[in-house]
Amino acid sequence: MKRLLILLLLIEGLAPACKKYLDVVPPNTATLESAFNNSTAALNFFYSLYSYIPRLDNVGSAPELETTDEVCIPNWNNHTAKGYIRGQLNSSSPYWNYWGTTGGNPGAGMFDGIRQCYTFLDNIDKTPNIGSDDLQRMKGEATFLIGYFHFVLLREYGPIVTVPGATDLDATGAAYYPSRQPYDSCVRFITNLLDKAAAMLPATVTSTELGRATSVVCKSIKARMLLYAASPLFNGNAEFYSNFKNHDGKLLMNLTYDANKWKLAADACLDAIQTAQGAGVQLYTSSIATSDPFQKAVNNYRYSMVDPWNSELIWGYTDPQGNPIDIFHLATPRIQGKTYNGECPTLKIVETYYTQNGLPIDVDPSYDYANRYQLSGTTIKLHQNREPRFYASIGYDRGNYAVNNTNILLKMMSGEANGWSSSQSDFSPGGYLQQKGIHPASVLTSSAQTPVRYPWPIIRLGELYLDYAEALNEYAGVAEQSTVIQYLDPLRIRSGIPGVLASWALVGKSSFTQDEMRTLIRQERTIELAFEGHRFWDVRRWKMGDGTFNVPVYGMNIKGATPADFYQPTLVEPRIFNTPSYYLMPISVADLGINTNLVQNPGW
Amino acid sequence: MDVFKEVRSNIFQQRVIPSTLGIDSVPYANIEKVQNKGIDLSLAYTYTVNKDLSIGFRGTFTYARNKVLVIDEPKYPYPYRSSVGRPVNQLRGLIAERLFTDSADIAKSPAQYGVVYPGDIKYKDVSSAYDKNSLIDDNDKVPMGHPAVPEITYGFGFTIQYKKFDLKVFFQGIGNTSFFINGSVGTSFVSTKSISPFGTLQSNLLEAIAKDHWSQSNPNPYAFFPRLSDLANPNDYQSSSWWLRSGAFCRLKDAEIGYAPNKIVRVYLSGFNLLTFSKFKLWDPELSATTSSGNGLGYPPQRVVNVGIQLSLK
Repeated sequence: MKRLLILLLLIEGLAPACKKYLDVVPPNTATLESAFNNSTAALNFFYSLYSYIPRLDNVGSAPELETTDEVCIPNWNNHTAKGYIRGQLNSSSPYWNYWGTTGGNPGAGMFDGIRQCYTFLDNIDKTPNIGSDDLQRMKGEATFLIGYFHFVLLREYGPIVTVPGATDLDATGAAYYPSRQPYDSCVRFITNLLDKAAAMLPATVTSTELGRATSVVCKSIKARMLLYAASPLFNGNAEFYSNFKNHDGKLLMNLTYDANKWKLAADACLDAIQTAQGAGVQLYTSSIATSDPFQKAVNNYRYSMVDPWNSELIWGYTDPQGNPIDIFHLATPRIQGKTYNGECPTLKIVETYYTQNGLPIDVDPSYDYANRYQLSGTTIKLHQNREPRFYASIGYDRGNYAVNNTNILLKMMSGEANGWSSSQSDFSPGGYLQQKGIHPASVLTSSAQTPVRYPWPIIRLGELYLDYAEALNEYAGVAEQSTVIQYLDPLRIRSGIPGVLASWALVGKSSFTQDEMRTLIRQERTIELAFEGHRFWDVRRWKMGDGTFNVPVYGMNIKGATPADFYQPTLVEPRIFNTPSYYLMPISVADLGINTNLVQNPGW
Repeated sequence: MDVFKEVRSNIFQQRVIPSTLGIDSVPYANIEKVQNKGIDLSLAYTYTVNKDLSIGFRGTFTYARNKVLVIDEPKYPYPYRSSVGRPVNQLRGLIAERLFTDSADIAKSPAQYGVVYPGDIKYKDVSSAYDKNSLIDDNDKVPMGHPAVPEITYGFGFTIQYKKFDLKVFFQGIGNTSFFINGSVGTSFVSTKSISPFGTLQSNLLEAIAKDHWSQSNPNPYAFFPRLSDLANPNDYQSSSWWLRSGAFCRLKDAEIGYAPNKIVRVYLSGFNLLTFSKFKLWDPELSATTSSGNGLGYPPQRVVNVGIQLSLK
């Protein structure tokens, strides 16, 4: 009887539990509410928004570092850039797929970041104990990040889907399957976000908040975006995009040139520069004591990138430490199996740097251009009498490489310490090594390879000067030439070469046409921002990919063991850049299959 | 003997949602519905002919074919891309026509996966019947071959006892299954386990590749392997009919012959994995039976031969 009773009790006890047995949510499971029910959790959520920023320091996930005519690399494992250079980009598994996450390298798509930001904005008001100033600021940063993530997509894909809020998962129709928006509407959409964020944010941050967005950052990104939008690729490009339409026939690109876009860009640049200067941002100069003006100039330029959080930096990407394929490991002289000795500036970029007089090497009358490959002392004339930025950026045979708090004399010929050998897969394919981006105090010994970490410059004041000079020259032409020069000169003088007019006076030139000035600004920009990840986008927006990115790259003859053999310009590899398809990245076939309202970019 | 037909519904499946929604981790839902039908046979028979001779037979046979009835998938404009009505483990790949012969050939063919050169695989543009572009991409991948998981598995064997001799033989096999030489996962061409000599880790060249690859001196458009390249070439490592092979095989799994002159001693010779019958010769086909090891670089089944004396001491 007693047994029966227990049995009955058991059945009775189990019966209601059985019904909902599978529907139980375990206790203490994190829900969306728990991310916002106290200020610490909310702050954690907030900081995670920054994790969606594309990694600029990582050659694997950044499209712009190894794919241009600035560098060439050996056949390293899994380097997407090498496949890209060979024309292996395809729409089925596109590289650097920031639109979705299939097939590409980034861990998260930009749309994921955008949704997280909106989720934050939608919920942060529920969190208790956050001061109204902090709240305002965090909302401003989230708004900025929404804008920035859109911009990352915009420069990669052109017309994009703009996301006005966190889409309801039960949405239907066009809300769930959105179409792409015309390029100009996207720019307006992002401009609004950046303007709104700028009004909510302080101009400076304290030393414990470095890397967080400020009003200066918002204005600087806006300036760059408007500069891109005014550029030939996106401004009246009927040549490429006259048939680039949504399924409903809506044109996705503007087809008529609008000169006023340069004005908008110039105004935004000037506003950003003035706000930045008001917030204490200024061109960097090194504080390392030296009596040698040349060394001073080299230091000014070199440390402007690698001196952490220096006065010139407007926004930097804070490296989460320990990236094994950063520039330091790829570029520094070889330590077997540890550093790879292979990030090689091309002969083209080597020849782009000015002479010590601040003139292109084929213009400067005092420079022996015709005999530049001739041996003079231990190296060739090409490596002599160049501007300080050349020496701060390029490691060349029989030149110094500043690392480990010393100078390593590079020996790049076949069989030498940094040269090619048949048993080595880590070698410079063109006989040069990139030096820019390496902090000279980085430790490089056989037992330790520890770079001095610095925030990768996403935007710095120097770029804004160049942005402004370019926009102003395009908009106002010769009328504002003195202002244009006024923004180019500080960069040149900081790096130890004379101002534009002083340099060109050597060849008797005192004024320039708009076209000449454009060429000059572009060369200045290429030099100043070399290896920082700008040229990939710049050449595209200048519509110069054909003739620039699809021509073979050259270096020295790395298989030469004597100066006579080594110093021969030699083909490193051919390059592929198809027009117009390579100007915009393909959207993956998988994404187009899921959302049939999307159209593919031209040529893919 | 069993004949069965079952329909499973509400199978747990990851949803298909647009990237623009921005969902970090794509949710799952109970959506998929699959029908499975087949036959399961087993047979055992022993027969004693006389006091010197007895024989026995034993066999099993399973045939199962499944079919997806409902699945969450994009609304493809290409009917062949839908999984509905196809087996769960259906292989999909491009239709390889041949290798490109020269640049004129490439110029007049649809654009492939990136830029290609003579000696790369030329694929057929299937999707152009449904869209406007003349382009090879994932939309040209069609269902091909049998499912990756075999539809037929069988085994049979017999025993014979004649006077003081005994013989035991057992065969095992699978049928109705296919695989891509490099596994149905195309990326294994660039993984560490790759038959490509120039993948991530530069490895040695398989003899089959060394002997028969496209080159300027061997411009055979039907060579076993496309042109060699010093880095993995995405055009050539796509899943395609070029790499599709039948995974069917039958093998003499187990055989034993014994002689017992008296009640105490028995001498025998036995072996495992003695013979394999398969159309696929590059490596043991059992390594290809599952998608994960379709590259043949796994550890193969071993052939074992035993000679022994059995003593029964009472």
